[in-house]
Amino acid sequence: MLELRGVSKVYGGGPTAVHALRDVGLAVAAGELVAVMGPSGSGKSTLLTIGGSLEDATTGQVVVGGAVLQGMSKKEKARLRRRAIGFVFQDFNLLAGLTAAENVSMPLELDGTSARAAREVAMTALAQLGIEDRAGHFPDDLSGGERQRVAIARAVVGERRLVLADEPTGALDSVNSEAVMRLLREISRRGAAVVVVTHDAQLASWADRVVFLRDGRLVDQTAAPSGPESLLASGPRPPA
Amino acid sequence: MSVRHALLALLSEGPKYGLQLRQEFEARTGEVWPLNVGQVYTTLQRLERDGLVVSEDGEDGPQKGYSITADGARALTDWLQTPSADAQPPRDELLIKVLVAVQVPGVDLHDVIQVHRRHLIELMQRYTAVKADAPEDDVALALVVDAELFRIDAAVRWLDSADARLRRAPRAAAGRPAAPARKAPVGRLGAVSR
Amino acid sequence: MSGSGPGRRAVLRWAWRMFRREWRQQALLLAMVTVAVAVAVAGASMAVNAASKAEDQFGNAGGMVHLQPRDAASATATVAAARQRFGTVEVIGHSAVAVPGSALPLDVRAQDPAGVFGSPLLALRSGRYPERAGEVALTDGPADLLAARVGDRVVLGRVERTVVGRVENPGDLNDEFALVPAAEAATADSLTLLINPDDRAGPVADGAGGSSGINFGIMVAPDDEKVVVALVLVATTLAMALVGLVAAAGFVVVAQRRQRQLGLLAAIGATSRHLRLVMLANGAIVGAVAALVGAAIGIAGWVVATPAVETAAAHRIDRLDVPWALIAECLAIAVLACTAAAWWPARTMARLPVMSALSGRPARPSPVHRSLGVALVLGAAGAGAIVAARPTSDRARPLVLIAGVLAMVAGVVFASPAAIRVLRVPAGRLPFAARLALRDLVRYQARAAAALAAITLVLGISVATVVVAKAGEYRGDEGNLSNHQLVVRVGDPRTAPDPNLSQAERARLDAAAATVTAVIGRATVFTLDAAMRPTVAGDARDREPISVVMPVDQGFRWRAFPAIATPELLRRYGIDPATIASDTELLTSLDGDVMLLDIGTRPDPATARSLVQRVDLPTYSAAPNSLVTEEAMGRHGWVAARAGWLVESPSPLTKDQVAKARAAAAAGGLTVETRSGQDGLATLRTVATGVGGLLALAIVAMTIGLIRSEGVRDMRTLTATGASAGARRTVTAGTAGALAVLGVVLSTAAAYAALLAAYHADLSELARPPVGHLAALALGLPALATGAAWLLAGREPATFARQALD
Repeated sequence: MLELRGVSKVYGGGPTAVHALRDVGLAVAAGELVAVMGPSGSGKSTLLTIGGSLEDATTGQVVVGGAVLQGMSKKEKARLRRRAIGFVFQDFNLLAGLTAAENVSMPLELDGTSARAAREVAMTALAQLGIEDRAGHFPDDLSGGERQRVAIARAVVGERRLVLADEPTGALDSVNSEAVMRLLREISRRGAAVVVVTHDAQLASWADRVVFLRDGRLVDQTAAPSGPESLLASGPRPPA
Repeated sequence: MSVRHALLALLSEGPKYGLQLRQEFEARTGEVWPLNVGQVYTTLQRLERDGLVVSEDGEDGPQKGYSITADGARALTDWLQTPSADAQPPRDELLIKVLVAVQVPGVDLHDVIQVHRRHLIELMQRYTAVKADAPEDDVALALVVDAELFRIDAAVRWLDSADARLRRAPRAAAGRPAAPARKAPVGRLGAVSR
Repeated sequence: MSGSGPGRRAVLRWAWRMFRREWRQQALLLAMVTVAVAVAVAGASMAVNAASKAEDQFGNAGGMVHLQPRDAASATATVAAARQRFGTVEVIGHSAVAVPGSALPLDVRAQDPAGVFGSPLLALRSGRYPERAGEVALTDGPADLLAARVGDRVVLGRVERTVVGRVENPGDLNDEFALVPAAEAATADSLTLLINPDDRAGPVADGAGGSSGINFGIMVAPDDEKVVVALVLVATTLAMALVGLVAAAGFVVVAQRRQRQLGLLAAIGATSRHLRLVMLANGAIVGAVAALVGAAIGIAGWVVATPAVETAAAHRIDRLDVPWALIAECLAIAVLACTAAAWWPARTMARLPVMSALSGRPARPSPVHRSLGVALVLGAAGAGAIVAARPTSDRARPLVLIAGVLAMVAGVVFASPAAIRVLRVPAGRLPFAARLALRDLVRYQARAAAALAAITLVLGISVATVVVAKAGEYRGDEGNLSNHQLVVRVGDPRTAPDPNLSQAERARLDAAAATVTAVIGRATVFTLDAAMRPTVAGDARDREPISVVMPVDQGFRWRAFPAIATPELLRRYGIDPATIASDTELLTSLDGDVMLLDIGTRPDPATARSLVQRVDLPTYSAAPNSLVTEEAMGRHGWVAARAGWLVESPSPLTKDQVAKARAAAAAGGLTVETRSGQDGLATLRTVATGVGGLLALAIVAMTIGLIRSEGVRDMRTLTATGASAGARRTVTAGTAGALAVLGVVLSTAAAYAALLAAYHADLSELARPPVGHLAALALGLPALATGAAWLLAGREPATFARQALD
């Protein structure tokens, strides 16, 4: 669903140039939940914004759902974001002045769906996340957890196949964080490719695969997950 | 959490048969705490010996009924209220390995740390998968898994901070002869391994 | 499908919701645009209604002819000829009747109240219209003079009449007359024929032999209303351009406040067009709301102010006669101006990279050298257009002038970023707080530049007003005379001078004029002689002085009575006789295709021309704006007739002097003409200057308020790091002062550029700069702005109770 091939990103130029990403290759399949871990400044967020067409890679190729981002016009990228890519940011996700349902239906309406039809789809998305009763509330009146749920609903509404989340639980307590990760996992089980950027190991452990970034390089990733039975072999204790 | 106190907790809900106790124990702690059948019955015998439970008359076995005594209830309450003496830090060996790695020339510390980190996170993934696949209302399981996750998370965070610390002083960590300031960790190493 | 309907609707809905949510943050903007619209609406209503329209003079007629027929038969024949020529003709008779105690004779007017053309020129205040011979209705003036009420009997010109009503001319409340039945026109001294010159084209069919004057004396109803409408539109456009600039500064702030939200919108797939639409819609909404509220306030104000306007304009005004179309145009301009004001920030926001927007980083300013280049090109184009528009001449081209002024305004807008950048230079050498203020202005260049442009424009208008007002003190060419002058006339302005006066009579008039002049004190007197065709002595009828006219379709349009070019007059106006070509007939300052007309020769309008030389005479309507050369007098065999005297005082005439002069003139059988309405114009200038200055201060204050509200975060940090109130004061005061100083410098430069272009033909007008006023602006405004900011910035910054979702 998302493929980065030899992607590098350099900010600025000359002696002050900052290499945010160096030759990163990453493929995320549909139905897969991938977590990107790394210390601050490792290029995690840049990877996400480049994968989501918000920024251009300096070199390398980014492919979203079979479409190559390089050479796309701003307009085509906007269309891609309306149709294929959903974003969930840390703590600033919703447009003030629009209700939860309107926030969710916004990408559809921007894409030309009539307000009525978009609202129906939005209500379905909210219902799947268990917050249909908050549909008419404005962001100010929602709790942090509810806001993130609305954001996720917007990120997946309209058959979006790629969901990119940047520290989506940053402003939430652990119970709400877990609920958000559970939702993202569900979304991936339903067939979306989900990429979560985080520095929190507990959240990353929800992923099917965890990749580690360091100084803009992809240095390591976890093996394919084994089932729970493997715990019986290794025992309940951390490795000794 | 000991098997002893777990059984007392189960009996505090009401009298139960041996087999029932074993099944409920397994149901509540799940796969993370495998238990053999004998362990349940020997523990029950010890509890009876100490006067914390009483059994119905009859032969030992799955069909024998047990109920908690007043002493048993008090012992359970006391145990619940006693802060757990976490006397064995789980990352001792990890610490020792990293400290040793600092001293060994030619070893990339970040790689060492990353190997451990990946290992720990893979472990966490497995625990989280247990939690994720279980129904959301299975609180007991979630609590058990969370306990493990937080423990491992602490280790991961220590690795992260170690990584950052070593990165900030890469030369010092690369095996220069021990300066006086470096004595402290070594001394602590001795203390830990005591 | 980025421009799809649902997408646009969704974006518009969001813009509307954001406006409803945050309109308080735009309350200043709203208030300002509302006030501007209200003033424009009320002003438009007043201007259109206060302006004297053609109807006020012509009724429903398209033209009129004044006649002084020799006798009743000649009158009948002439009217018949006119009927044949133009179809419907309405005849109004005038007889001048002396009234005891009044210097001016009373106009006894024979007019049909139900006349096809003339009915709008009559209204009944009380009683009824005169219907039979021996009845009369009076206007207020003569009624008071004669102390006559309805039912009284008065003697007018040896005829005793019964007063049956009180009447007025709704189009001119100063028009005083006594109305008698229309049938009496047959015996009137002079006639006014109301006609519609376009009714019938065709060859001139003459009436009775001799000169009927029909072909020549046609006065065509001017189309003044169009001029007024154009002026109102120009004023509204300028005002809205100004308001739009200030609004642009406000919208930049709004856009920055919404930057992250717009970034988010882009992240979920909005196109640049959608992003622009959000800001443009906000601008349009502000404009529309302000237009609606402003229109309501403006119309209410108009209704309240109607009686005052009626008195000032001296004609009746219908309260409901609101120029709806013009107001609709003003409202449309307001909405357009606000939308256009939002365009700049909208474009900036739409161009910002999504990640920069999401993280709230300010936009990278566009290169200054480019905007400076655009500014210079626009400024030059604007100045060129102003030169081409010839605003100080009769043939001004208002549309070109608007275009020129707008180009200059746009030039100021583009020059502002460069001016803001200049602040970097002194910033490094200043103490900490002042340095911070200047650096912040440079950092938030877009916002500061818009604010500066607004300040510059309003100051520029003030500077221009002050300079023009100063220039106008020495040569305010509008009106009939300057306030230093009066004209003593032989008889009243309607009677032609008599070239056949006896020596004794001439000496008596000269003596009478000398007594009038003596009243003024140290005055210079120039005799004004009219050129006349020689006539038989004693014949008072059908005398017309030689006129300056302009050929129009079927006749001539009267422009002026020329005076004979005496050496004194030539010297007075600095015209060297050597520069006058030997065959020149007419020296004039009037524009257009003018010529001398002698009615007696009945020339063909299509071919008649005079040899005209343009000279630098004043363009007042009553002072000599045209001179007939001795050459022309000799060539045509014209004779001189004493028409009057031009009296010039070194200082403006006082009311007392004018009153005494009038009294002396009345005693000697002369009349006096002085500058009319100069007080109103002078007041207008003063008010304009004052309002301009106040507006400039208000805008400076508002801009600083805007910038300060945005700088609250910095202020909080400053306070947290222990900066004293003094440091905070210095930062705010520095911001205000820097903007004000830049504004004064830029605006003075821009205003003088525009004025140089406007007065390029005679730069001596600008040779006396109004030093006092300019110094007050250049020093006073920055001082005031800095001081006010210093005072206001002392308070601890208040925290925002609720930040928006960011």
